[in-house]
Amino acid sequence: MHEYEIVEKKWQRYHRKKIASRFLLVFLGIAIASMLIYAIYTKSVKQTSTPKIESQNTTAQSLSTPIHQKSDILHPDLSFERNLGYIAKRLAHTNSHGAQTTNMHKKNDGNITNAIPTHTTHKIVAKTVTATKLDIIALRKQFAQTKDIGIAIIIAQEYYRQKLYPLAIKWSLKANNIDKNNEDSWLIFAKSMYKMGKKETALNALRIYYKKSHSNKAATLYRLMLKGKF
Amino acid sequence: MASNIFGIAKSCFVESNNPQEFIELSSNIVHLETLEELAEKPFKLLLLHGAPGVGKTMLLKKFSQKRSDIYYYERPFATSMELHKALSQDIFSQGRDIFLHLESLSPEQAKIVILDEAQMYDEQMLEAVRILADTKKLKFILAMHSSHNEHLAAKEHFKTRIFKTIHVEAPDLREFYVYIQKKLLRNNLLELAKSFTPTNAKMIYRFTRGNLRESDKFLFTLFDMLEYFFTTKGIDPSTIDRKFIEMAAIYLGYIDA
Repeated sequence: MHEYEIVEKKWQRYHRKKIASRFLLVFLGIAIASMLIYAIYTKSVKQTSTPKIESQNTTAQSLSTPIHQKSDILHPDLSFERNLGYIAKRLAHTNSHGAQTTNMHKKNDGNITNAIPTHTTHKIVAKTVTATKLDIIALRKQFAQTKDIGIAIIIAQEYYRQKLYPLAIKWSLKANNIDKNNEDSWLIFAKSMYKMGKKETALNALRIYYKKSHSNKAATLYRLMLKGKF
Repeated sequence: MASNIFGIAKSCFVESNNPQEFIELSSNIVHLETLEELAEKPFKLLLLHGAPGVGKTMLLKKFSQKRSDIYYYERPFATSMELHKALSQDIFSQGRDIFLHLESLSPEQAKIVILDEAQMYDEQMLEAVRILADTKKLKFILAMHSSHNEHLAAKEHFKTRIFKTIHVEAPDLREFYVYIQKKLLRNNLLELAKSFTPTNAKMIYRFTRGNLRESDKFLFTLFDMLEYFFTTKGIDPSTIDRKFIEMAAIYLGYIDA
């Protein structure tokens, strides 16, 4: 065999290797490019979806805020309030267990707000200062000045969102004290109770509220809690 | 016959230092003109350096043909005695002491002596050259490799005596293509010159980096292969497949296949 034919065979091997390495290189290039595109796409999707969630929250808050304006829809009797007051009293007692400075007003005048501790424990207050955002502090100050039920509801919702359920209960009761027919105050109260493991209390509150308001929301929430799906 | 075409093409690239085969490129024409200008000046020493195979020897041979007062020595001298003797014989046609001869020359009659492969000279030889140059009757051009900075030793030795240093470089890709084309056309290989594309030249340039000696060897091998495969397998002679360029590169060890 001529030496050039040997060289030709060597070239064929070399060529096959070259093609294979080029194919691999192209494949890797495509893979890296795909990964980059996917990463960029995912990032952009996240960026676009985040503001939507925020706007939904804002909407929920803005919807819940003016509820107090419907205060003339229902005319409750006082019996359920007494029951609720009793529940709140028990809750306040549970929350203040172990705390030194619990000061409860036990005026059972049918107003549920009066049944809760006027000052929650120092522990909870301290936690509030550190864990909540500055806007809640501002809202609380605003509430102190205006006694606006909408602000109380917002504060209660925010505490519920932050899983500070005793505080959420406290502010739902404050709202309820202003307007006993405010649906959000009942629902936040029930949901917070449920989250604290007080399922029966939560269900009882919803039953009471439903009897007087026939609220679909209350009924739905009641069913969910009853089935344990909440 | 295409096989003859490849055979003729092959012969174009057989290594030769015949100045008749000097291919004028823009870069080496500049050097040639510089040397011609400097030849008129009363210099003692010129240093011409470049990597092996870039065309220094061919350039100097071409330059030596331009004038009658140039004495070109391709091979280095072993001793200063040999150098003196050769100069006496060639310049004055007598074997007498070179210094006695030189005294009879006027500065205007100064001769140009080209010593190729000057990187081979040791300190003693360089000193002998310096003494001869100091007579101002002999103007030396020392050509040497600069692949390992050999020229720097000579530069250091002569210091102020060096009138100018010329650095010869390999041609760039465009000039390299022109070089191949001119070589082919000089041998009336018009069709082959047409089929030899700039891409072909680029591939070869990638391997040889434009070094003319290496490129000549590469092109010789390429056309030899083409001649063989045309004869045995009847390949298309109108194009030069990159396969054959790669095969030549494998054959010459540029590609480790």
